[in-house]
Amino acid sequence: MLKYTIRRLIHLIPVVIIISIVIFTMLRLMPVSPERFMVDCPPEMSQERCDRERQAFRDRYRLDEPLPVQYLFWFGNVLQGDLGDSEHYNEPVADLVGYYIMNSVYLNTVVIVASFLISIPVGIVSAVKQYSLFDNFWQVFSLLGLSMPNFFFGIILLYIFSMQLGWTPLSGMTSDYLGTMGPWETFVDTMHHMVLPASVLIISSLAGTVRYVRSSMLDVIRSDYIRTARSKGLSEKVVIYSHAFRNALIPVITLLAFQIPTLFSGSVLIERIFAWPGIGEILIESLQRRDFSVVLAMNMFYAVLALVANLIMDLGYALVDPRVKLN
Amino acid sequence: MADKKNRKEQHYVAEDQIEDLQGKELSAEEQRRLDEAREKELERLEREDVVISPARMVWNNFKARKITMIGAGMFLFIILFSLLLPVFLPEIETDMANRRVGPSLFFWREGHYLFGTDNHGRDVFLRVADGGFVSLYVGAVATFISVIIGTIIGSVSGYFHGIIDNILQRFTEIVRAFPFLPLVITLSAAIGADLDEDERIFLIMVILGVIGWTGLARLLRGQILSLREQEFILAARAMGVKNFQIIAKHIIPNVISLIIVSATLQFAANILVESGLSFLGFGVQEPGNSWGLLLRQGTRDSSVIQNQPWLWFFPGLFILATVLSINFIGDGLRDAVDPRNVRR
Repeated sequence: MLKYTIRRLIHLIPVVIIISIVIFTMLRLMPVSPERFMVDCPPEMSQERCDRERQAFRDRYRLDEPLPVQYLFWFGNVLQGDLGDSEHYNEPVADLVGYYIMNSVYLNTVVIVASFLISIPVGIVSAVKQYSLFDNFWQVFSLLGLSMPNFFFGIILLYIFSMQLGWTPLSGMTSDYLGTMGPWETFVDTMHHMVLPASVLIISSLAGTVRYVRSSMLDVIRSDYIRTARSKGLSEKVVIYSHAFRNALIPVITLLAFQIPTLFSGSVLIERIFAWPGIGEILIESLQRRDFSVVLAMNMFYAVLALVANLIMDLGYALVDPRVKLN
Repeated sequence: MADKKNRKEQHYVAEDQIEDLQGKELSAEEQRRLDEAREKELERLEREDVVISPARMVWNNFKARKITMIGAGMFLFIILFSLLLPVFLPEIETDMANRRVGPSLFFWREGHYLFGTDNHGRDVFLRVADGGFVSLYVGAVATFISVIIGTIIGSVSGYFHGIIDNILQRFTEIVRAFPFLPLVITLSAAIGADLDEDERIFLIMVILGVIGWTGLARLLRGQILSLREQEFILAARAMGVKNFQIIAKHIIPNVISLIIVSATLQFAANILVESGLSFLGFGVQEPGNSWGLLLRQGTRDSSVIQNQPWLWFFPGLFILATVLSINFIGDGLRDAVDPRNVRR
């Protein structure tokens, strides 16, 4: 197991490097020169000083060197834990991104936990009572959910619950502008702000997860050992909830590994609508300001997240399913 | 009963004729008779419906489900609405006298608009009809690109396992690890900054197509890995048919249903991504027009969302209806092509 994990981790290294080369090259090949965006020259500043500062910027990122040198320079810094500085926020990228990632993590943790708590029982009951009213309802629900653009759904909820009914705050993550709230109040306030964005994400992810749990449960129900259990004369309850249930949970690992990266990139749109200060917000803002160190770091974050989730999925299978042999 | 017997006799006659004439030097007259007999035979098969063709079976399955037919109807309506209707409608004009007019059911009267008007007095109904074209077009072309790439990579990878498969698998893995939405946003912001409208639309199609093929490739590879071990492929190989011909003539026809289903679902997903991109401001921009862009303009700030809901509601509704109808069709197709559901 340990050996396998190590080998998989080693396999990841070239993949990460290739992805970073591709993203780096694409960003650097952009037709705009970044120093024009990054270094402001107010009219009262002399042309000479402006040029000097822009040149200093170019030197800092080695922009006058050939592309491979630039890449190696960046990569060397990353290996030393230095992702560069955000020009706009004047802060190391790692700190900045770390702060915003935490906000996205809060949101997405709530979403993942809630959507699993709902989708596992619903999916299993749907499978056990296939073609019942309950099952049909969730089938239609999930098709609707898959087709609903989640930003449109977000706007509808925002319109109804914040604007018309006034039940939830309009946007942001907190209304504690003065910093006077205690920890408990802050928590309640954050939750209050989270209700709408989280509901949108939960409902749209339920569409996929319910379907998935249902079909994996259906596969299990149709398998031979369930027929054996039934023919032994076990009660339906025992068959479903003690024999089938546990095995139906195995593919849910896949779901988790699949959900995490999708959620993080899918929440970009929702964070935009509700002005939730997460990584989606910072990515879009940095793109608009051409703050490339941040954009590069964000893209690498998403890529590594997807790769690691994939690895965890494979390892998770090996842990819970004795039929899976790693080699 | 008598009719059936009669037909059976005819059938034997036809078969005898074909057998008699085969393998001989044929005069023009005989050739004509052979062709005629063959044609009759085909006609008979069709009439008696002895074996229904796969396409027939799929169609029968497809139309047996009410929901897929509803989806098909909805989609047809949307196609007509956004491809045909704009041809007959008047040009979109700004009309400062009629700005921010709410929607009204009496749209034929002066100063009334079915979907209302925007801040420049443009008729939202006309803009929604017009914007559909770009949304559908981008989705369709992007799907086409990704289906081509996915089919080639998936079938080559499944057919030639071994080193080629290994290389292609690593390649697929890398493309899969690219963060889809963030990367698309980054790319269209990075490359698209200096482009004009048509080039931007082209760029978005290419980006979506070039990143979106991995699902289909994996699906096909799995299918083809088992297909390639079957006898008819073995026979073709033993006869010395070239590898690429085997793929094109024997393998692809066997997985074409999978490709169609996956393309349908991909089409729906691409429409969603395009609208999301335009909504964020990284897709279609003014003076272009698409449903995502209309949604963006209708949600510029919270007062617009609150006071002019028709600006965002109708474009959003059309995205939802389009994607929903395509998903209905895709779902129906998936069940229809499954040979386990034979319906005559």
